[in-house]
Amino acid sequence: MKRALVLCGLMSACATTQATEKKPVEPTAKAPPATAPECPKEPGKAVAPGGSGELSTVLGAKVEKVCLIGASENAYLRLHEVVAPREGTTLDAPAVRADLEGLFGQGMVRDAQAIAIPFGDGKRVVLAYFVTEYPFISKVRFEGLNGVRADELRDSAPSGARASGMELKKISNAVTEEFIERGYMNATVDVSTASIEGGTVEAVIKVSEGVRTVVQKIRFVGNKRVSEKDLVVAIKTQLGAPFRQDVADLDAMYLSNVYFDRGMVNVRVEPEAISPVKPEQLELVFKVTEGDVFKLGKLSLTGFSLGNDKELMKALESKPGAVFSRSALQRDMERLKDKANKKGLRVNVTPITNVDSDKKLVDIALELEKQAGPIQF
Amino acid sequence: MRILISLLLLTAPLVHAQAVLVDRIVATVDNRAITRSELDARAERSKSSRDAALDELINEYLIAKDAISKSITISDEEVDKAIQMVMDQNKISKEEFQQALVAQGYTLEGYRTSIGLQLLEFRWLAIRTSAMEKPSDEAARAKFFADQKKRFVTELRTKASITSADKSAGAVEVRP
Repeated sequence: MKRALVLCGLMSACATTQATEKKPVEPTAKAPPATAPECPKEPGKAVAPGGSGELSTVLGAKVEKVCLIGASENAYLRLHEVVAPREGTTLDAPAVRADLEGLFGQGMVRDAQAIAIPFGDGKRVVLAYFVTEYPFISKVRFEGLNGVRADELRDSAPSGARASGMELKKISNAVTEEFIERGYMNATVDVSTASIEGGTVEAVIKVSEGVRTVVQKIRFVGNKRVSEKDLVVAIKTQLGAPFRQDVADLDAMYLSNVYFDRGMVNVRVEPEAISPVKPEQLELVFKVTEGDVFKLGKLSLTGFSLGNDKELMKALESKPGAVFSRSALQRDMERLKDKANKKGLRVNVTPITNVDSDKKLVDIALELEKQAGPIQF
Repeated sequence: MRILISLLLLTAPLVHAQAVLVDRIVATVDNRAITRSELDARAERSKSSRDAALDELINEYLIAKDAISKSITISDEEVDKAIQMVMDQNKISKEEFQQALVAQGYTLEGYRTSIGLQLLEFRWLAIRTSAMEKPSDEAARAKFFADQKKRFVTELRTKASITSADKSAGAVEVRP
């Protein structure tokens, strides 16, 4: 208290006389500056370690000035646009958070923080955003290549981009994908950066290729009602081609579709890659559990009416009592949509299914829902 | 002596001593930034450590991103229904519900987002495990879904770019 009094005495009645002083008085922690301070150069000078103030003391204060510190000349305008609207508003934590997210969302900065500096009566602040930008990638170097040449991978790892974590991950994923496409299913790719002259970085892509694996044999197990000939034409994996797990998974789906169209609605198909002799040669085995054959039980139309239901049902390919076919059902749904289109209407068709496992029947109700708005062509 | 100290205090650069850190980025996942205020709010709400809360936020984002990429969505009506169910189960009116939200540090909009994300996660997990055989026993089933979620999230995290200000080299020093 005594010290505060002494200070006041030396400052000639504190803030009230500041305007008459020729030399501006340096404010103290207890007496914020009367006018908006200059933008600080670095956060360390704005917030002393261990000495940051309480957030609640500045929330609701008027933001007199917004500063953006740390942005390069090239990035300044774009980043400033994100934070500039904060000037003149009251300081609000969610809005500042949105600004920080917005700054990061520009893809240029790797770090950002917002600091409020109160002045005057303490109800006004300078809001300073400190940013640190990502450097640019000016050079790309591959290490560990044997079976694939660097020039084959250039499109997946271009230079010129900012070395953001996301960009480096994008490069890593793209290069990995290139190897998988070529049959190197266990290839690992690690991307790091090394600083070089001019403030840019070199992206160093370390590759461990592993073994190139091709499909030597394709086999089906458990198929009793569908021949191997009918199954093999449904899949995309080819003999002699590089093995791809994602393609094998899709093949399992295509094979399931073959069964769905033959009434086997509970079919399960699992692909398994086996190395019979050498690691570079695989046997791809599709394990099929066919299940029972189901017939179409009841078929009905519900919801919005497109006209005489009997007439509409007659035009459908799916017939009660016939073996259930998912493709036929999908074609029927399209037929109903076309019928509506011809009437200048737009309908959504949803199949509501009820499976009776004891009777081996699938009941289908096609629910029609009229859509708002004109038909989009 | 006292006057000397006072003079020193006057000339010392204390202009910024009252400066307040409003918020800062503490972690990033792909193109999403997680701020300190968001992390603190989550840690407080879920009564967990900041590390656990950060994992929650990262996983939540990755699941939502993966769900959207697979065209898995949740409608406003579904969120309305879920909120109505919460009110019915607790036998509270809309006003009481809103008061309870405020007491727990939620806004209605924030709570809707949170419920929407939970529903999205359930649907995402249901679709991603649709082709798998599930145990019939309830406890085993719960474990199955927890294990699968962990497996899928690990896959997503492997493909994502995740950094935290504390760990990423060269990031601006974290201030207290």
